Amino acid sequence: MNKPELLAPAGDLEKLKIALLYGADAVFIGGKAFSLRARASNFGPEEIAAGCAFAHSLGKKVYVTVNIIPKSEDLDGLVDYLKSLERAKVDAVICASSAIIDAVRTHTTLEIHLSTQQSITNAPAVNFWAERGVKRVVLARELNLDELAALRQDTTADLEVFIHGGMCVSYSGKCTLSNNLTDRDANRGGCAHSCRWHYDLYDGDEKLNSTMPFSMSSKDLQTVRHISRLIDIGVSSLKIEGRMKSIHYIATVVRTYRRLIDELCDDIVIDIPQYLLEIKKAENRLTSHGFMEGMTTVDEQLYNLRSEQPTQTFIGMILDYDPETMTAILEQRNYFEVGDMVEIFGPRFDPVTFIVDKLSDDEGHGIAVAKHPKQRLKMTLPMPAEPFDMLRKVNKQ
Amino acid sequence: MRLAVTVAHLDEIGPLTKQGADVFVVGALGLSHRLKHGFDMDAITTVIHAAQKVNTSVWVSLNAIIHTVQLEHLDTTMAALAKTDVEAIVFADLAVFKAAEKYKLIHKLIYAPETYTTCTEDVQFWKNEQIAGVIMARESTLEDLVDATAIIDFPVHVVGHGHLNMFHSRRPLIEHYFEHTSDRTFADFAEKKTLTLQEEIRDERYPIVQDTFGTHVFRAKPLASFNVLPALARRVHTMIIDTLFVDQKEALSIVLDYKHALSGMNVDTIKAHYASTHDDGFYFKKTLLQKEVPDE
Repeated sequence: MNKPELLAPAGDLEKLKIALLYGADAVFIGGKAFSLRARASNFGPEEIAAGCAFAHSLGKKVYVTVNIIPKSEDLDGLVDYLKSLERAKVDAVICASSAIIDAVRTHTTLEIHLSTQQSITNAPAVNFWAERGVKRVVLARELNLDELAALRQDTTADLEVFIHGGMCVSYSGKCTLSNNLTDRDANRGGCAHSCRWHYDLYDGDEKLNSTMPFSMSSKDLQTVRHISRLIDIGVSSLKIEGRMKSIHYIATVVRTYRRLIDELCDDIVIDIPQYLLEIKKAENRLTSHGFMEGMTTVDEQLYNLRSEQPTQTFIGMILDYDPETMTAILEQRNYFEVGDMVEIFGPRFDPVTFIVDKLSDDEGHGIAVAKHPKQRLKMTLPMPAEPFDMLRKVNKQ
Repeated sequence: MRLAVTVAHLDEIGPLTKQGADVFVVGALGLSHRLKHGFDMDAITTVIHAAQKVNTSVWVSLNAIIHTVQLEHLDTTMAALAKTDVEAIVFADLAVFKAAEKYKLIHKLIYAPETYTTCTEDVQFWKNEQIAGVIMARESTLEDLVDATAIIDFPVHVVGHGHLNMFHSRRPLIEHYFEHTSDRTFADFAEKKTLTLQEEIRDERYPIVQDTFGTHVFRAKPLASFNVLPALARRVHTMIIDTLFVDQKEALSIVLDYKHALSGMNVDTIKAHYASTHDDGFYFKKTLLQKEVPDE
């Protein structure tokens, strides 16, 4: 079987490094212009170049989203921007607009991936774009496994499928709820997520909802149980959504799918419940399989917007480690105390649980609590660690 | 500028023609979204003949988002359309383009993806593909339309009247909701177009319809183009009047009003008639690119 690429989101350079170190084969990032999820786009030209250099040093790839649906005035500076991406040796651009695809084809030799914003649901549509120079198509999230298998049979283009993260409730790229309700253009980076708001449902003047507001919101996608079939189908790339997500989320989710993909491809017997437990540590919203098993049911919807309480809390990232003293320097990311039960995890090892015994500030003064964000601390660890390993608190169950 | 009207019955052709309609848009059964009726090929052929008798034209709408299971039906439909004198085939899914390619019908295609045709460069792209025209995005401002039509000699159309769609989910959201709350069944509302949503801090009501293609939510007020008609008439090839939420009598009245307004008759009276119940859509509304909001 061909091992698919694991593609992870990265909202900034730190997240890019985390995603790649924790096992992603490629990352997708957004520049400060021409990209949706405008708040998730923190890569200026220097950061893009640095990200590409880092990724390429690991033999991995960087794709840049150029995925707005532009008005004519939005295209100012596009060609210069695309050429700068080419100079930075970006591996591909992810586009949703025929205007932008045309510009990429005309002025650069960049590889083109077609965004899920085009809501491609069938092989002829894939082939339309493949015939026009698109190398890969990110398919609509409304497809089930059987549809994906059928589609795979009728095209030679690379296919990319979302496996985890937030889902548009509408067919992507077709929704203007935000435009209409808030004057913010969903297809140019301004989506207000109006699909997640509460509504009353009326029939004429009769209000139909009583205690529970009407909701369109969906649970996040999670496909641990479906990766095996996706690999068998021959999907080229498995994509995790979430450029706005934390480094803890990215590390946990990427690491889980990395190990799952590797073990499946190595024919190792898989303990699915263990994978589900691990991935749950980063969830902040209920999850479901979306359309993977067919038409959605009520179980794929979200009706109360209550965040899932995570079982772990991200408390710190290792910056350095002294093997002689078994002491790590870490950067605090959430409150924790001496005596807390915590778990250390990293790209290369399973989580190890221990009790926080000694803690000191970076001048060596003993402290009982770590309460300052990004404070540098020293902590004795029960095992060796490396930079970018992470710590999370194990909540009492 | 020509006037196109969406129709649900053969017997609408004659009366609407008398009111001034030039083109009739009919939905193809199983391949069109948000139209009152899906016509099978026999009915489409009958409509085309009827339209030709009164010197009008027919556009067949294949505007659905198409899944693999529909591809065979698409091929059959396209093969049948190749044997008719349909003036144009309106499409959103590129599978239709590929089917049209097979049956040598590309020159009859009008691209109508609702949101993707937003700039002059998009229009140029589709002109290069040698199709018949495009329908500009629903969110196009008047300025966008002027730009798109200024440079390129290529038919550009707009949906200029009616409740415009703003959301389409494959999910049967009303059905899911009733199942979750367990106090009603969707079957009681399946054929109704009287359901609306109201967001908790807004006064507007948005029509919501669930059908076999999923759930559709529409803008609160129907669009009317009387305030921009002279500008449209100079630039737009055909303006489409969507009649999904109006009955035949209202449709006749709307078409006549546009015909009168285009010829300069009763313009102020007509504008006043629609002023409180319709709006200008996005003709004069610039949307923002981005704004900071808190994460959920």
